[in-house]
Amino acid sequence: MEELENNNHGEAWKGGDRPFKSSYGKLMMWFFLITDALTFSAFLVSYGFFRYTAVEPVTEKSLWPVPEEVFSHFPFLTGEHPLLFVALMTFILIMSSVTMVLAVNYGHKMQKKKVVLWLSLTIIGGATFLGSQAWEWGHFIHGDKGAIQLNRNLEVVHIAKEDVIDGKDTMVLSSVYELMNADKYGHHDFSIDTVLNQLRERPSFGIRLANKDYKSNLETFEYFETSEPLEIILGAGLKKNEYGTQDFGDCFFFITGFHGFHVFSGVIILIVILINVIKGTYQRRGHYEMVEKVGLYWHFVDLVWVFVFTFFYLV
Amino acid sequence: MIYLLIGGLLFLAIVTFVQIIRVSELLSKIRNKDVNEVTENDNNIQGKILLVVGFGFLVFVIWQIVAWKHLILPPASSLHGVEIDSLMNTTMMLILVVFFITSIILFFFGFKYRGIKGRKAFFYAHNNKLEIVWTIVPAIVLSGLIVSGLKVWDSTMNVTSENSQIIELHSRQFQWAARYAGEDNILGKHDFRLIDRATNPLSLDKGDKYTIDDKITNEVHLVVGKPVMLKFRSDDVIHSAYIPHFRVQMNCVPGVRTQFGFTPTKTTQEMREDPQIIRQMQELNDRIDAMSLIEKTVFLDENFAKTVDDLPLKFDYQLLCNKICGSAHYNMKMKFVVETQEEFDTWIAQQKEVGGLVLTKK
Amino acid sequence: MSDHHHKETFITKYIFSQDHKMIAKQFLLTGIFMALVGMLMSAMFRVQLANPGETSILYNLMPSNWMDPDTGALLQDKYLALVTMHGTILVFWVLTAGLSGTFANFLIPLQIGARDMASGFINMLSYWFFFAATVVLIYSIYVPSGPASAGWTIYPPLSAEASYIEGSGLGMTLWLVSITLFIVGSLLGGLNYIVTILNLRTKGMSMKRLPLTIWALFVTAILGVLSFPVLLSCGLLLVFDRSFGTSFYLSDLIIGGEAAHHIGGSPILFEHLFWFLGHPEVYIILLPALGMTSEVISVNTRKPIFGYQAMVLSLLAIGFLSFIVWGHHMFMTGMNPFLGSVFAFTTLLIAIPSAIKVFNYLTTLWRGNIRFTPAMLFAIAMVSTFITGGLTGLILGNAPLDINVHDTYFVVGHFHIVMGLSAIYGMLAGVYHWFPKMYGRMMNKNLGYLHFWGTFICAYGVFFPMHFLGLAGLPRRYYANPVDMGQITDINDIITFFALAGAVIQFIFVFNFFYSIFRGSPASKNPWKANTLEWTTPVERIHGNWPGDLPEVHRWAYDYSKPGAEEDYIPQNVPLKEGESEH
Repeated sequence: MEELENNNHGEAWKGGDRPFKSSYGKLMMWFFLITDALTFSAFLVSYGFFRYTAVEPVTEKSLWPVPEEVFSHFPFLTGEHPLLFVALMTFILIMSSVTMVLAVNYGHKMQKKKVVLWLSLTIIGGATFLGSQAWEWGHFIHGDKGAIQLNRNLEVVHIAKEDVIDGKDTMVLSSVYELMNADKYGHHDFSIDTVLNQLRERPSFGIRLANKDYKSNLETFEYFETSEPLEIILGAGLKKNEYGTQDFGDCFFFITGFHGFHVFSGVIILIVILINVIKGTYQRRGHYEMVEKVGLYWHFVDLVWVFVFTFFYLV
Repeated sequence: MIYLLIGGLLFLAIVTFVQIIRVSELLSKIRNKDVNEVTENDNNIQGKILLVVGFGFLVFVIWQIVAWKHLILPPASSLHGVEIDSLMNTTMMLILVVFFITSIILFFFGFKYRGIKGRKAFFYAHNNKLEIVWTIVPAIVLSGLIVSGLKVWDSTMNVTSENSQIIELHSRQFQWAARYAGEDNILGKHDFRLIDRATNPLSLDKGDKYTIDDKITNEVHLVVGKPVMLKFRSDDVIHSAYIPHFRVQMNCVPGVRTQFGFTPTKTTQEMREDPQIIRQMQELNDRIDAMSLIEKTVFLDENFAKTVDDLPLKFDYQLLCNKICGSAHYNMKMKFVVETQEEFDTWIAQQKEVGGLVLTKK
Repeated sequence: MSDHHHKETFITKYIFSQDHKMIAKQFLLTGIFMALVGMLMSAMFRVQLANPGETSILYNLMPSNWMDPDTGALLQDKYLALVTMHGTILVFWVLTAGLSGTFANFLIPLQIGARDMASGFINMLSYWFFFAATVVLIYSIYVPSGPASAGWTIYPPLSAEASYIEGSGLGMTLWLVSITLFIVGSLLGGLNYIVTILNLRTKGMSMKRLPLTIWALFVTAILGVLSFPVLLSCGLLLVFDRSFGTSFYLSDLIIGGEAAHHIGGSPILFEHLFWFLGHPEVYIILLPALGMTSEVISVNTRKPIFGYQAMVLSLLAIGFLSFIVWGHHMFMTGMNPFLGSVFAFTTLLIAIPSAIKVFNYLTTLWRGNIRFTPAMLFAIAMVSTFITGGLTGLILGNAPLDINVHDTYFVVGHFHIVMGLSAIYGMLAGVYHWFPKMYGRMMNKNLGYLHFWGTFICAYGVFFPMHFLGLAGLPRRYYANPVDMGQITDINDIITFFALAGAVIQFIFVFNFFYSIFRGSPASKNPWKANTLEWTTPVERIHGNWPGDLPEVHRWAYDYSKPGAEEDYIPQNVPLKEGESEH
């Protein structure tokens, strides 16, 4: 297929030339990324809808779980480290984009060995991100504080306990495990009656409602009169989760899952391209444009993650 | 057997067409012309047909308006409805005028400029002034429509429930139920998790003090001239409460609270005395009369839950479901009655209260 | 890129072809087939509306469990299944794939002077994804629980739960699978069209010299690429709600008399996501028809299309505005009234570029020398129905007026006239006009005239009366009519009569089309004496479109009856004469 090249770039729109100075393949990748951006946008907008309509009538207090409380764990460390792991994951993914830029750069210079190096590092970064996301999922599914689901509006409440902070009596977030003196990493099957009995016997424990109000032990049982406790929730699934509203879990799994699927497919494509680089296909072809196109896809995946991280975890 | 017949007919039709084409091709060969070339004669004939059919269509439109005008909804029976009707009439006038003018031009130009051999068309590629004129004129007209529209929209939808009788319309596949808010004009709470089809079909919170005086009914009575606020909910799929004579429509969405406030202005009795309604009901009753006794009984039972003794049928306001909701979507209706205060008081006194039963839980 | 000397087998030439002309024909044939399926479905439900509760031989086309075992009448939820599938098939399969798929594929490379699409391979994939989608959809009609039945708009919760309507079980799942395949095919096609128009225009074919058809197809492709992904997302969330128990769209549901676990979701979110595609979708349907009508009218009046620049700008304006009007499908959902006002405002704005187009068409006809080919008749009919249908949009788009006509037959009349008539007429005009280039033969003229007049008369007979039904308050998607409407239901008899007559008349077209492919009189290279580049290719269609070099363009596409020229047309590749100025 011939292309009539017109050397006068100002005239690039007059036919016979490429107005964006890109091959059709690269243009197609850009437009495909636009379509994918719209798919993710639709999901993020939906997420925004769920988050900002999860409010109490009249008081307008948010009923949405607090991300810092949910995502506070770090592999091999104990204690609460709000959002630290997710920040690390973000860092890893961004670094993999940097290595990708370097790979593309060396591709322009036709330096095969360097392309192999930086492409491999990108793949490792991507795979590490995936592994981390898998750990995050596992931890999310297993849960760490447990919760009680009540009948009215299927409200999810958390165990709280009395504490003294700066000399003042206050209540802080606790967990079902602490109430039951159980090890949170074991496998448990608490029945609602067992937990309620325990709650009756330990008056320093109370609950925290979905709107983040605390209730003392006495107030807790008054509250239970108006909204019967149904069951203990440990961990998270698609139909219910211990962190709060059902939609929180649904959005988490869906959005990070859809993104993770893109990272996964990106890693696979990168591996295929890496093999081609090693075989010398692009060296023979005279250009590393395929690496550049995949690079575009990888940067897109990274950019989407920045948005997901910002809107789901940070804000 | 019937398929053989249909297949045979189809085959015959195809063969006929083929022969017609063959013949016309032969004829054209004899006349030494291309069978499919569009000739001046063709242009002449088609141009004339365009004029005739085009104008025939416009006459058909006028005929429809004249013949069926009495079948469309009579003037609105609500305050906001009158404003809507006024805007609708203006818009309709405008649309009809534009429709007739542009369609006449289209068909007439098609006819007038039908192709003649040797005539050269007029090379007229653009005229910016003209473009500006017919951009600005529609823009002005549309602005007028938008401004009026938004005013009416605002006054229709931004209604508060102060001084309104509050009634909840509950929808499910495939029936409606109404719940009056009682003396305190506050509806008792509900929670879908309290559902029990036998004892608590509207999933009411019977422990809530406001529920006690609520009244559940299967038809809605309104007092003429008094504002009412309808609150909607659904148990299963999206339904829509459509009461055409009041110009009221609102979706009933599970999990979402919607409402519509309005003031009815004509009693059912007044409507029964309206000439247009009388004519419509007359035509309906005539049609029923023409049925056999058995047909009548079935027809009345299935569609109105009435018997032959209820003939002739009288007009009633109807609430129709207007969002596809399943198989019996077409038969999900509820009667609305608009009456005087005294008639309403008599009726509402006869309705049973929900009562303060023990809080039922699952 | 394929070289036109390589050897082709039957498979690579006709089945897995990468040649845009063959792919276009694949889309066209599939589109015609699906149009017949959709049309037969409409015949069935029109018969039900005219004779409610009675049986009919037409119903025998469907599985036997669609009819009542005693009376043979169509079952209520299967009526809804027919309505749903009719809408789905006609909106997506016929008017999107059948219209854009055919003509974008056929015309873009030819009219811009390219050998083929940017990527023949991706083009081929786009057809086969479409084909796979078609197979899945047709299969879904025959599953025991029936196909999707919640309307082509498939609002949850009705579409999410099989106990609410039977078709929301397996049928709905298959519908979702099918539409996913369809979207992928559409996106692949759209990407190709955009990139080809940007990168492969031949020398001299600047954007300002592009035929209006290409501009229309270009804007259409952009609309598709931006809006279909949102439908994909919308569908994916629904898949999860249906199969994995999530609550994106569901909350406060009673299923089988018991409270379900869903909480927090909203069906209104579905509506927003759906209509964000849904509205641009109808312009994806309309714009190619508008573009082709411009072409056909210009060629057959022997005049330039009046106001080329204004036509391009109005295409762009309609394209842009189509993204911000979607809420007018949702006025009655209880949305914040302010939001409703915004959408009413933007919707009425879109009337302006539409009006400009109509006035430009009328002015093009003025002082022309009209040649009445069947294509021209359809183009004129397109303008007529665009006027008729577009004007009723002024009522539907004005929020308070929508209160009483939303979801009634008024809406059904409106969208059928603009989509079912206008867009289909545009498509038929395109088929009649470009048939000689597609198949190297002419379609029979007299059968074309017969088809046209029959269709024009019957179609208006079907859809115009619907406005009165709507103004009388008759809701749509009703299996039978609320009897209180009395004599109104007689109008249904008239509509059904015209519908059945119109359906029968379409077979004249089907016959003409297929007969002419094999036995039509041979066409010359440029039977309509048109200017655009596709008419400069040789009669025997070849890979690579032009033997030898690609043409070079020197002028715009509308030099018809130019003063000072010998002929009443000057093709785009003819250089300017001494002293001649380009328009």
